[in-house]
Parts: sequence; C-alpha cells; structure tokens
Amino acid sequence: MSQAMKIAAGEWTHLLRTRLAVLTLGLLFALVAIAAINSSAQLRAEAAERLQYQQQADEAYRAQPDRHPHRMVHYGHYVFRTPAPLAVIDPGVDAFTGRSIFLEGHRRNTAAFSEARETSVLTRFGSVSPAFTLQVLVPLLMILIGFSSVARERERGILLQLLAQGTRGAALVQGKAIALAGVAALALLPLFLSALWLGPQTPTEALPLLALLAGHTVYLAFWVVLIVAVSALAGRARTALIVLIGIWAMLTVLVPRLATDVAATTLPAPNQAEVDIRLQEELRSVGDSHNINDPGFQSFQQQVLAQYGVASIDELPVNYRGLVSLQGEAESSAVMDRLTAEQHSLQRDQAGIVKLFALLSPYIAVRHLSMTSAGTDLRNHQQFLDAAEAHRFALIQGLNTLHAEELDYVDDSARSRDAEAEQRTRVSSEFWTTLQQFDFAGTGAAERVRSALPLLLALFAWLSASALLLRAGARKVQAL
Amino acid sequence: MNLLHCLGREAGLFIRTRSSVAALALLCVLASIAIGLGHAEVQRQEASIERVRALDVTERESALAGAPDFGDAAYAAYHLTWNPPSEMAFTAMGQRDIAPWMLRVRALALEGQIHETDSFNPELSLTGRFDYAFVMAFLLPLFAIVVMYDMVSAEREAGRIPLLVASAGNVRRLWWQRTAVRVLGLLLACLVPMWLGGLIIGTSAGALLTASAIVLVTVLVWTAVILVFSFRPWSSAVIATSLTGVWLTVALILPLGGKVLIDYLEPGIDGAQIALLQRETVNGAWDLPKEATMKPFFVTHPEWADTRPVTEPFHWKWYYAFQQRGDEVAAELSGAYRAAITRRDELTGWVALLSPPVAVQRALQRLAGTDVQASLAYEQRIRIFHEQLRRFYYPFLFNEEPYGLESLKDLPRFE
Amino acid sequence: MRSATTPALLVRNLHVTRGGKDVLNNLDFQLAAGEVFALLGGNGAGKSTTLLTCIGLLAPSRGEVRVLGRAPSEEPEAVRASLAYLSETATLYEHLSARENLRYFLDLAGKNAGNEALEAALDTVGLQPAARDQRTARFSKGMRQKVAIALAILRETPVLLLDEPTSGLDPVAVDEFNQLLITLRNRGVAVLMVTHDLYGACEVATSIGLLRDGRLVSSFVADTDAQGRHRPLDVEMVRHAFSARTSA
Repeated sequence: MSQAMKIAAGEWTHLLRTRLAVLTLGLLFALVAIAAINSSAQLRAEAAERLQYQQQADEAYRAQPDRHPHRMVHYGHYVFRTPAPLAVIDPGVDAFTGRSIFLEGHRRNTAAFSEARETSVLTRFGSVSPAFTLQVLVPLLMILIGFSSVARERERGILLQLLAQGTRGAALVQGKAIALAGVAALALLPLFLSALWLGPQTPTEALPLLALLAGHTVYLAFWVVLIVAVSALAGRARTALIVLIGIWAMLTVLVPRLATDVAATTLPAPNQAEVDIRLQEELRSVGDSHNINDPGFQSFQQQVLAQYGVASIDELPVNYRGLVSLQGEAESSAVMDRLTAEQHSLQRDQAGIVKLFALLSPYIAVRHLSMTSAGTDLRNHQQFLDAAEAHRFALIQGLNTLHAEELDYVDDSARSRDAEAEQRTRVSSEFWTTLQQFDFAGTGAAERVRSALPLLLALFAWLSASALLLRAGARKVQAL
Repeated sequence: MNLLHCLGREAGLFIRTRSSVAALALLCVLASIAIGLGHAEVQRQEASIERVRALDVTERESALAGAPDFGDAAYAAYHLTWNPPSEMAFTAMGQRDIAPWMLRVRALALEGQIHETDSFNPELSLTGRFDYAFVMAFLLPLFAIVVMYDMVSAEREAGRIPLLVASAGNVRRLWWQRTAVRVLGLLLACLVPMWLGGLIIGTSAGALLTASAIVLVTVLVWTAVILVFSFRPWSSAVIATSLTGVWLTVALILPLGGKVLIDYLEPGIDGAQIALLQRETVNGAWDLPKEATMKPFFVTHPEWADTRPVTEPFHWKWYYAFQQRGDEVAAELSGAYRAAITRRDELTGWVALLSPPVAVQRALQRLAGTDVQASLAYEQRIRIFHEQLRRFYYPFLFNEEPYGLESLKDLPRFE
Repeated sequence: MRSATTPALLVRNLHVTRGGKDVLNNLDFQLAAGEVFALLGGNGAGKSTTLLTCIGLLAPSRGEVRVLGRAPSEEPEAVRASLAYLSETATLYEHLSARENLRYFLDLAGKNAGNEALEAALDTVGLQPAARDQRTARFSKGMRQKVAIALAILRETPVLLLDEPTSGLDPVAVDEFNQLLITLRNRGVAVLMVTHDLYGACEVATSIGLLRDGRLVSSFVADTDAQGRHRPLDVEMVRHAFSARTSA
C-alpha cells in the first residue's frame, strides 16, 4: 500500500471513530437518498397528473358540438408541460415557470400557474432534489467532515511525527484527499444508482446523464481538493473551518444572489403590462380581423380581389371573413412572435450574465450544467413556449381555413342577427376530432450536452485552481 | 462599576480583534449592498408603474375611441391595476419577483385574466434576490456564529480563564458584557444601512422601528442558540462544527422538509382547473339557449331582469352575462384555490416557529407588504375593481344606450 | 471581619473531587502576610487544583479554604478582589500591547492605575520601554511573564497565587523573578506558589510542601534570623527528604 493510501485508510478509521463525523456522514447520505426518493416520487405523480390533464383537455376539445370555427378559435385549447425525464435529478426552473398554456386565437398567452406562486416562501430555500443536495448541502457537510483532516494533525504534533517517519507532504495531503473523496463518492452514489435506473428507461438521455454525472463529480472533486488544501494551509483547525464556511457561503449563497441582482439591474426587463400595451398598439395597425371593414385590411382586400379576379367580395369562391381571420392571425402572430423573441432574448441575456459568474463560483457552473443537461433550464422553457406557440398557430390557422372554406360569406355576415343563418355557419363537430397531439420533446440531447460542455470546462478550471492550492498546502505541510 | 464603562472596555478589546471587526464590516457592507439593490429595484418598479400608467391612459383612450358600441368598448378597453412597492419593500422583495404587481383587466370573465403571470425570468426567480431579508435570514446567523462561537472556548484554549476569573471576580458578568458588545456590533452592522436607506427614501420611523425590532429578535435568538453551544466545554472546532450543523438544519433542511410536508398535508389546487372550468362555462354558453345564461344571471343581478330579452343570436348583454356566469361558476373553485394558498401559508408559519430564517423572511415580507397575504390582497383589490367595472358597464349594456365617449368619463379608476 | 490574626490564606482539611476522583485529600496549610508557601509535586499531584479552589473555580467537597477569612465558594467576588493570579503561560491577549493588556486587566479588576504607576510597575519588572507598545504576540515567554507580574504588582492585592511562574524562563529571568518575589514578600504580600523549581522555591519560600496524590506528604518551614527575616531553605536537605517521601 502506498503512503497516500495508508494515510487515507487512517483518516477513514479516524472518521468512523468520531461521533460527530459519523453523524454528519449519516446525515449526508440520508439527505441525498431522501432527495432522490422524494424527487422521483413527486415527479412521477406530476407527470401522471399532467398527462391526465392533457388527455382531459384533448377530449374536451374533440367533444365540442357543431360550431362556428371562430367559436373554436376562442374556445381554444390547453397544453400542459410534462416534466423532462432528468428533472428527477434537477427540476431547474420548473417550479418558477407556469405548467400550462391556454392556446387561443389573437393572443399568445404565456405559461400560467407556477408552483412558486402557489406555494410559500419555502420554495426559495432550494429544492428537495438530488442536484440541490449535491451542489449546496453536500459541500458544506464535506467541510464539516474534512476541515480538520490536516490541521488536526498539525495541532496535535502528529505532523512532525509523520514527517520524521519519512511521509512526504504530498503523500499526506493526497491521502487526506482520497479519504474525503470517499465521502464524496458516498454522496454521489444515489446519483449513479438513479442514473443506472434512468439510463435504460430513456436511452436518448444517456449522454446528458453522463454530462450531469461528470459535472457533479468534478464539482465535488473541487470541494474535496479545496477542503484538504485549506486544512493544510491553515494553522489551526478552527481557522480552516471558518475559512471554508466563508468560502462555501460566498460561492453557493452569496455570489448566485448577487449575480441575479446584477443581471436584473444591468438588463432590466420590461413589465408584461408594458409589453402588452406596446403589442396592442402594434396590433391596432394590423387591424381587427373581426371587422372586415377595418382599415388595416383595405389593401389585403384589393389583393384578394385581384388574386381571384373578381370585383367584389360577394363574388369570391371562398368566405372572405375567413380569409381576413387567416391574414389577421398571421400578421398579429408575426408581431407577437417578434416581441416575445425580444423578451426571450433579453431573458437569455440576463441568464448569460448570471452564467458569467461561473468564473466567480463553481456552484453557478455546476448548476447551469446540471439544468442544461437535464433540460430544465430557461432555454428549454422558452422552447416549450415556442413549441406551444407553433402548435397554437397551426391549430388556429386550421380553424381559420375551415372558416374560409366551409362557410358561406352571406350566412357568416348575417349570423349575429339571423338565427337560421347562424345555424348554417356551424361546421360539423367531426372537424374537432382531427386535433393534433401536442408533442414537446424538449431540447435535443446532443444540443444540451454541447451547451453543457463549456461549463464542464469551467468546472475543470476550478478543479485545477484548487489543485494548485493543494500543492501549496503540500509544500506548507512539508515545511511544517 | 457602571455597565457603560464595562461595555466600553469590552468593546475596546473586541474592536482590536481584527477578524471580528472584518466580519462585522463585511456584514455591514453586504447589508448596504442589499439595501442599495433593493432601493434600486423599488425605484425601477415605481418608474415602471408610472410609465405604464401613462401608457395605459392613452391606450385606453384610443381603444374607446375606436369602439362602435359599449359592448365593444368594454371588450377593447383594458384597465391597469397596480400594486406599488410599500415604503419597506426595499428590505424584502418577497413575492414581487414571482407574483405580478401590475395587471391589466377588462370587463370579461375575471378568472380568465387574474391568474396571468408576469414575464418574470424564471432563472432569476430560481435564485431569488439579494435583498435585506436574505442577508438577515441567511448571512446574519453565519456572521453571528463567527463572532461568538469561540467567545469562551478561545479563552479556555489560551489558558486565560483563571486569570480572567481572578481579575474580573465575576466571570459570568464578563461573558454577558462580551455578548452584549457582540450583539451591539451585529445590530449596528445590520441596522445602520437599513436606517440610512429608510431615511433616504423617507420611510416612516414606525416601520423602521418595527423592522429593527425584527432584526433585534433575530440577533437575540441566534445569540441564545450560539451561547448554548459556546458555553459547552468543547473545543472551538467542535463548537463551530455543531453550530454550522444547526445553521444548515434550520436554514436549509428544515424549510425543505417543511415544504415536503406541506405538499403532503395541503397539496393545494392546480390553478389550471379554475381556468378550464371558467372557459368551459363561457364557451359552452354559445351552444346553449339564451335563457340558460340569462336566468341564473338575473338571479344574481335582479335589477336587469326586466330589460328587453335577447332574441338575436348575438347580443352584448348576453355576452357579458355569460362572462359573469363563468366567474360565478368558477367562484367556488377559485375561492378554494385561494384558501389552499392561505392554508399553505399558515402551515409555513408553523415551520417558521422552528426555523429563524423562515421566520425573519416572513416577518420582513409581512412588514414590507411583499408576502403571500399581500399578493392575495392585491388580487382582492383587482376583484373589487373588476366588479366596479362590470357594474359601470351593465346599465349601458342592458339599457342598450347609444354609444358616446361622454358617458365613459366616469369609468371607474383603480386607486 | 478580618482581625489581625486572620491568616491571609487558610486551607483546612480540604477535599476536592473532580470526575468522581479525589484530587485533593485532606490538605492543610496556612500562610500569613509576608509568607511564601511553595507547593511542589509531580504532574497530577493536585497543585493546580489547589490554586483553582483558592480562586473559587472549583468548590471543596469537604473542608474549607479561606482567603483573608472569606470562603471563595461563598464570596467569590470579594475573594478574587483580594488576590492576583499568575499562570504558567502568562496568558495575555496577543493582539494587545503590553500597556493595553495591563490597562484591560486592571480595568477588569476595577483598579484605576495611573500612567505613572503603570510605567513604574513595568520598570520594576524590567520590561524594556521600547517593547511596551508592541503587541505581545511576538513577546518571549519571559517578557510576557514580566507583563503578568507587573499586573499582579499593580493590583496591589494582599494575596498572590502563582502557577509555575518560572517554567520555561531562562536562568537570568528566573533569577530576576525570584528577586521580585522576595521584594513582594517583604512588602507583606502572602504568596502561594506552585512550582517544579526546587532551587527557586528554596530561595524565596518561607515554607515549602510536597504534594503527592492530593496529599501534603512533607513540609518544611524556613528559619528566621534575629530581625525576623527568613533564611533560604537548605536545598539538599529538602531534596533528600522529598526523594525519600516520593520513593516511599
């Protein structure tokens, strides 16, 4: 057995004989396991619930009676977001985003009913997930277990004895690091087990899962090395502890919050009400598609008449009101898409600023790596919103096409006053059964892994930095 | 010997300890940054409200000008409601980055509008703001631990106890004096930035005093906890380890455990159900005979029962009647939804009994009007305003009065 | 009330139990003003326990301790006001200078010493003026001990308790310290000194005792000359007697 391994074995013997250390180890393992179990149970329940809601909404839509197509445009449809498979490990922003979107004509709604809005202040304390436990709680517990690893030997004069026996400083700190790495491995065990369980179920997620495991492993390795390095550099055990807790609080508690405020302050986002008003102003120039005489559609009318080679809209082979609906929806969607894209890009820029802080805190690096890999980050949420919008647009334009092709213009114009004409403008309920399934697969695995890679590199940079510190620690040990 | 003199002596000793002074200075700087950021955020929100209020007026004017009748006017005209930040909002942002504080409503069914969320960046909400409440809840206890954990054990480890005892006579009194100095230092570091911030924006002294009392209680509670450990005959390292464990437990593990428990005890109601129900009712009305809508409507609004019945396929009075019906049908579920939120909030209050960080955040958010109750109260104000809006339009709609902008000059205003 | 015959320190039939074990067993001695009692003994003999009991940090399980007629366990503050304590490690605040340490501890003891008295005391103990405003962190053990003695002098207490004051000092410093102690003794201070240093003890003590397993197994009292001044004890005689008791 090498010197380092002997030191590691000795450290483990010491840990297992120290009541406080055993207690902390137990707490650590329990926390990680509970988080994994709770998270998977909750997620499974939520996935089932979402699926059920989606089915209900689909059935309700398909069961609508004979109707005017524009009624269906306003009746709309609901889509629900089912959690990503890897949300079991990291729910990411899920608690702070709405879980359902109402799809209707003329409007691009955003996801409503977020969990955070419905729940209390407690959601802000973190999530009961393997990711949060590994990223925040485990490092602190590892500090409590490892802060005295070298400092203790120095305080008790054992260091002198070990060096006198020919133990090298490097071997000593390596041994201590190996011992603490054992603790980290214990904490990672549930993650690896759940990966073994999740992997075969969702083979497409194998690569992101690997990135996730790699990220957390490197992150915890950073802490292992840092803890031993500080313990070696500090003169006394309690100094090591206070310094480590300070570093932990700064990296995982302070910097993320500061990053958030810096992002929100440097790139202030306009309020939704403001965006809505701007949108409404722009839409007014598009015109009200309910009113075919709206000045916004004058040139469109000319264009349609020229296209069909007729003199008036009564002579058109299709229902002009439907054409206006189609045109109006297309134009207003373009405006809404542009404004939403602006908003989304601003939010991504804000997130980008936060991500820059990965240079100041490896926690931010691992958190983003984890969310990105799991497909629970902002980007993925925005893609969900965009997918829902695409679904909405197709649905509404399908209905507007029905409106144009299946309805008689005269009846359609008279339907508000004439009950019989109104009856004739109702199309068969069979059309509703052709509703397309909303499928949102989320960001592709390869793309997620690609955007996670720079963060993995950042984590490696942090690990290297702490390794340099450990070398300094080894030198200090060698010099007593 | 008088107490002030003794405290002066101990303060003199304390401020010569570089690490402790550095810790308090850092705490003070962090509290100041939090106050500054909170202040900036409040100003941004106030400016945003002012800007949107102006936009809202012009936007509504053009919407009303283009409307052919009252039905269309009520359909097109949005009304801005807003929940301005309170004088103490700079200390605790609370729900203001997840629950809307501006919402535009129109006279249609409210349940379809009131649950709209603002476009908050979820990635920023996830971390939460660096506000004063956060500093008091999470960082203050860590700083308190740093300046107090080895108050006794460091003296013991230095072998100074007999000398202190022989000199002071009563060493217990000495520990109290030293505790008092540390408590005063912590309070100074926390309260000075808040008072300065408050005085700059003209917050009332009463509110600042209440907030100070909350901070005082927080400091005292943590001091009590820390003293329980620091008077143990343990080594400094063991005391620090134990206190960190306590902090971890009450600041992170208990709140998370509490959340799991609350999810289990009071799962809450999925808000999507309210919207679904409301939408089924509103849209279902199109396919029902007009009486199916008007009859129950006249039960709740008998004053319009004698107006001309609706005979045509479409009439605005029928349209707004089924909008009203949509809300009435969803009212029970919507009430239960709010009750569940309130109940969850109450359960959180029980968690706060065990967790000072939860308690201090709740207390400061309550004071700042940024807690769950305040956001529900804002929702209630919107409901009242929306009701006024409906009641304003109903006479024009049901009496089928000719449209005129003159009649709209008394449109209800949200205040 | 203290009468003229009240001993400065009285230890009678003293038993102290720590962790269920008798650390002091039927200890008896007393000393009057101007006397120095040196208590010798190996590690764990109960020397420090005796001092801590005199300060009132430990309570007798049986028997009594009286400092100027007062029991430390009953009137700790009054007792502590009348004694000064000097520990082996001269535990000052390292981040304070010599002067700051003196002012702090004097203030703690409720004693108002003027600057002149302070400097005079530092002169007496022989601390270089240049060192007086330096942090004590870099002081040698002897320098720290000098500051601690200055503190004891400035407190002007009738009783002085010393816990191995000369251990780790260089020979010159030990000699200076012993001369200082004789000066204090001659001023009428009663001194209880716990020490390993037999030679020093014989030079300054008016009586000397050997403590073993919590019992006082042997003691000697120094002779006085015609003027009532104490003569140093005969080291060889004491050592002989003690080694006989220790090996027995």
